This record gives sequence, C-alpha cells and structure tokens, in this order.
Amino acid sequence: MSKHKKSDSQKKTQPVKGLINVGPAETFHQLSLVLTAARVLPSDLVKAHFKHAEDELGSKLTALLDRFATLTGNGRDPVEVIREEILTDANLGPAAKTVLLLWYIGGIRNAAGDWAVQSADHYYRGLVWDAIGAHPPTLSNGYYGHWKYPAER
Amino acid sequence: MPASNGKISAKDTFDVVIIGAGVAGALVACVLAQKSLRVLLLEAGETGGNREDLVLRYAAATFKGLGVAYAASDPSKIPGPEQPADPKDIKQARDLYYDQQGTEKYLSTYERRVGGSTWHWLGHTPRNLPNDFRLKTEYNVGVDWPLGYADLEPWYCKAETELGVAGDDAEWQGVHGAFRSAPFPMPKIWPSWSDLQFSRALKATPIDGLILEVLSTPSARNSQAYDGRPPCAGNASCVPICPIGAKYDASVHVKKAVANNAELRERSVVSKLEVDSDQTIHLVRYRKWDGTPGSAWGRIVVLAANAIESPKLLLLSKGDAVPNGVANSSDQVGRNLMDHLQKAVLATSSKPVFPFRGPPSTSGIEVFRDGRFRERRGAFRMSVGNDGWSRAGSPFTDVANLVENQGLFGQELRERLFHDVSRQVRVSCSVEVLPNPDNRVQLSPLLDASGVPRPQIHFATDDYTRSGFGPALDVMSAILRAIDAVPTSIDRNPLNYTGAGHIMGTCRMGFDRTLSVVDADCRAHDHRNLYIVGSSTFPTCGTANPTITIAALALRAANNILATLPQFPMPAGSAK
Repeated sequence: MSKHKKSDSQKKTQPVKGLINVGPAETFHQLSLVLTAARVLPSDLVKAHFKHAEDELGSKLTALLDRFATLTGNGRDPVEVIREEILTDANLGPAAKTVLLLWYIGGIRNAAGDWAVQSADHYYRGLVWDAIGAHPPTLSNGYYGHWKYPAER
Repeated sequence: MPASNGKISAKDTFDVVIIGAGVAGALVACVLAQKSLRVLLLEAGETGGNREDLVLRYAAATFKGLGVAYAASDPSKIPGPEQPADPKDIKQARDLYYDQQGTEKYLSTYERRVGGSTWHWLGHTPRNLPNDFRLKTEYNVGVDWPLGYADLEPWYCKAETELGVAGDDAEWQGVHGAFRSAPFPMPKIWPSWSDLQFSRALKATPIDGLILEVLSTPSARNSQAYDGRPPCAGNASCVPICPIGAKYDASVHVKKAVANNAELRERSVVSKLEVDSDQTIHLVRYRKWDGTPGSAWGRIVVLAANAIESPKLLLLSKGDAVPNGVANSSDQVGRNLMDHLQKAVLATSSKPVFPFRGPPSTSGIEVFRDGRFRERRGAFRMSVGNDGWSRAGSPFTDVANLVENQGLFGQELRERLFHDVSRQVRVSCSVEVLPNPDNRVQLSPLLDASGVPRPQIHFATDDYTRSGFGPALDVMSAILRAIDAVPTSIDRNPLNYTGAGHIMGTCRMGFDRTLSVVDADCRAHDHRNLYIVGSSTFPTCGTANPTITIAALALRAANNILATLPQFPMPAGSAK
C-alpha cells in the first residue's frame, strides 16, 4: 500500500525546473537512464514506474526530479550529479535509490521487507536478471541444457 | 455383507475409494482405473487454476513463499501449513496450522490440493539404498523394513517409467549395492556449469583421501519430450512451480485416472472411516466445502493423504470398536514422524559459476549415504546447488545491498552485481533421522478454520542426527576449499536446520502388528481392506528423497489390491 494517498496534495509531481519544456515524466525517464546505465528503457515501464514512484514517494520524488533537472540543466554531468549531489543528500538519496530498485526489482520494499511488485510483468522485466546473466524464475526463454554452458550477457 | 452399505446409493458405491490425490493416491487410482475398476478419488483440496495462472500469481506475489501460487478459492475451507485461512497470514501459515509442542519445531510443510506437494517438489528421485531397508540388522539402530531393496527394485523401475525419470545408468548402477534391472526411461538431466566445476575440482583434490564423485541426480524432470510433456527449459523454478510441466507432478496421473473413468471429488474433506463389525472399513464420510455431508462406500479403501493428514484422519475416526483410532491397535499411528534435516553452506567462488540458471540442483554426492558410521550417527546426502544464495534472498538482497548500503548505480552497479552473484555457490546436506516414538502427530484440542482438529506435533532431534551435521559440514567445507570458494559462514549449531519437506513415518510398515500399522503391502494389520500408501509407511527414512519410494510402494500396493479385491465383494444388488 502506498504511503501517500490520493488526498496527498503533493501526489502529482510538479513540472521540473531547469529542463526547458520537459515534464516530470520525461525527467524521471532521464534520471532512470542515468541510474540504470540502460541505453533504452521501455516507454510503458517508464510510465508505470513513474506512477508507482509518485504514489510511493510523493513530494520526495518532486524534489528529486527538480534537483536533477536543475543541476543537469545547468550543464553538469548527470552521473556526477547523482553521485555528488543526490546520493549524498539525506532526503534525495533514498528517493533515488527507491527509483533505482524499482527498475531492478520491479517493486518497492514494504514494511515487512518483501518486494511489492505491481504486476507479474514488472517482476519479469526487472533489470536484475539480465545484470546477473540469468533470467527470472519461471521465464527462462531458454533451450534444454543451456545451464551447462557459461552465461551470456 | 458389510452393514455399512445399507443406505449408500449406487453412485456412491465403488470398487476402491482413495483418499488423497497426491502422487500415491493418483498412481493407485490410475492403475486401478486402467483395469476398469470403479474408482473414487476424494481430495480435500481443489484442482485450482491452470498452470499459467498459477505461474503469474507467483510472479506477481509480494511474498514468494512455497504456497503462494496455490491459494485456494476459499482458503478458510482448506487451511494447511502453507495456506492460512486468511491469505494475509501466509508467512505464519505453518504455525497457525501445526499445534507445535516442545522446544524444537517441525519445519516441513505440504500443499493440500489435487496433485499435492508434487506441484512444488524439486523432482529428485534417488532410490533408497539396500541398507536403508535393514538398518537394524546392519547397524543395530532403527528398525528393518518388512521388505528389501530386491523386493522393491522392479517397482522402482515401474515408478521411474510412470513419473518419467531422467538419469544416468552407468553412474547409478550399483551405488552402495543398489542394482538396477532396467535403464532410466530418459538420459540424465545435463549438469550445470557449476556442477562441472565441482566435478573437475574434486577429481583433482581428494577429500580425506577420497575422490568424491559428483553424480547427476536422477530426476522426474524431462530431458526430452516424454509422456506428452516437453523437455525442461531451465526455468529455474521447480520449486515452487514448473511453468511448462516438464517436471512431473501428480496432476499427470490424476488426469490419466479420470480419463479412465475414475471419479474425482475435490473439495471433499474426509472426516471419518467407519469400522464394520468384522473390522473391515468400507464407508468413508466426508464434508464438501459448502457443508454438504457426503459418503462413499468402497470394497477397498486406500488412505493416501500424507504423513500428517493420514494419521490425523485415523485418529479422528476413533469409535467404540476402535477407541484408539482406526488401524491403531499397536498405538503406532502418529508416531515416528521423520524428515531429512538440512544445512546449507553458501560461499563465494573465485570464478563465475553462473547460478540462477537451470534446475535448482542437478548433481549430488552420494558416498556419505551409507557406511559403518551409521551405527552411531546419521548418514547424509549432499546436493550441489545452481540457485546461488536464493535461500538468503539473492539476487534481490544483493541489489538492495549494493544500492542502499554501497550507493552503487549505473554501469558500476551492473558490473558488481554480475561479479558478485555469478560467483555464488551453495552446497547442502540432508541428514538421516531415526524413528522415535515420541516424535508424533496427535489431534490438537485446537480447531482449524474449517472446524477440524489441527495436527498437534511433537518433534525433537536426537544425538544420532545431531552428530551427522558435524561430519557433513566438515566435508562441505573441504569441498568448497577444493573449488576455491569461501563460505559466508558455517553454522555448526545442530539445532539450526531446515526441513526438507520430506514428511515421513507415522503409519509405519512392519512384520509385527504390535509394532507397526501396515504390512509390507501397505495393508493395515487391523483392517484387511484398508491400505495406507505414501511416506507415512516408511519405518526409517535413509537419505533418499522419498517420492520415488512412495511411488514404487504405491504401485506395488495397487498390484496387491488387484489381488485382494475378490475377497471383498460388492454388496448384493449394487449396480456396477
């Protein structure tokens, strides 16, 4: 269950500063590309994870995107921005890590320590599986005996 | 004529009534239905959704526990150790169902549904060893079985054909004296890359002067198309569910039985076996989930629940004629509950072994399963894992640690994840447990959500089992050194173990009716038309995963039922 209900006035992320004509969803996309080092992120997942992050983080996501857009809009290297300005920030760092874990695992950890995924699709499309040279359990897309050989990644 | 048939209609009258649609019950039902007998299969659980829906339910679940794919349509009607009456309690399901007594808990659980726990078994099918059947004679511990390896060997072959077992004849011929009279029906499941590294290292590095052979584990998992099911695609999810049915589960034989006109009545919780004046048992009373009472009459009745539900039902069925419960003149019903107790060691290899691919385990080390040491301590079987540190939450725990605690992101995170997780190895041991009459299942005064007494369980380990852990951990440590892997930790506390899901004992077989519940044919000493099949009949547990022995004994019992059926005729006037 989201910590932020629909009545939360901060639920809807405000337009970010710094990136001209770029809305919060696109800033989330750009932030996600840097956090994950992915060349491309599927647009449907960007949309879904942005919504999930909004619901979970509320105003913290707004602040995170605002800061990222402002600093990168000023021409700073986005990797450097994340390393030096965001992850070191007591408020923004945890929010950025939540977004990154959402991409890797497909869900957000709940109070019981379990990873709440919004759908089976999100679980299957977590980045962790490819990163470790494997596949999500129950979906190998593999052929008989592939486990006999080193992983290809 | 048995009095109990008086009010039973023709539609409720059968040649054989079988209680429980797990692997034992399904096999018996299938064999008898193929002989054109009128067979009823009663199952407390339900068939549930199709395989694809179960898989998606698992993938979407927040808590990916054993039973999460299998929640019943109305959980309050069929609570069990993996399914609480209220789904929000799933993490506490075991302790909400078992009424645990004593300081140690019984840790293994099961699924109550059509097909039983074979839905989430690993699929391993090593046979018992010859000395597993004669522990008392050879080592002066435990008891002997009333039959030997040679008696069961032909039935092992039939069981391997029925389930579809992949194995290597050359590797397994004569292991600890266990001869094989027929080849495995399929070639072995290919070893993993990790297995090959273990095998290579152990050939080059003797452990205590021994070259340890890494053998492919026989498995009821297709290495090629078999029995209408596809070959394994390495989905790495035998536990909790094979998404394509390449791994055998008992729904295979339930379907075959039904195709041969056996009747399946699911959502039917059996509450009592009625004992006739001649000590036969024909009438089985049950209650449907909607509360409707039901009865069925069989010339022969087969109890095929598991080693917790079977004794529970026998004890529930007590009456004037059987004040201690059905089949319990020996007072052995419920006693001698066993399991294989496991310890795992997780380690980091110096080189990648590429886990999380293929079946969770494809190889093992069998040499420690028998020897004179069994006079004083438990034997153990070892398995080599392909599942990394999944038992500790990997790979999610690795991602979380690298992100949250080490602040990694981007390419560095990706590289570190691959580096760390690709080197994860696991080795495990399963240690033998001796029968102990004080380890037992009884009826709890506490009721489950459906109003049935919960199983009250007392279980404690003894020095025999505890003494098995030390040597097993020593060997595992040496093996890990041989492959240049560093353990995360080694827990030598003998009270810290996990269950194997191998629930055995509680209705043991034996020659002596004062010391056992059934004979070598799985036929109750006290009631000659009652059969009890499943691992509840095991007098001792050895180190083999029990399912292939369950299947062999069930097929043998089915054959015996065919022979004894003429002794128990249909009631006069019954339509067949």
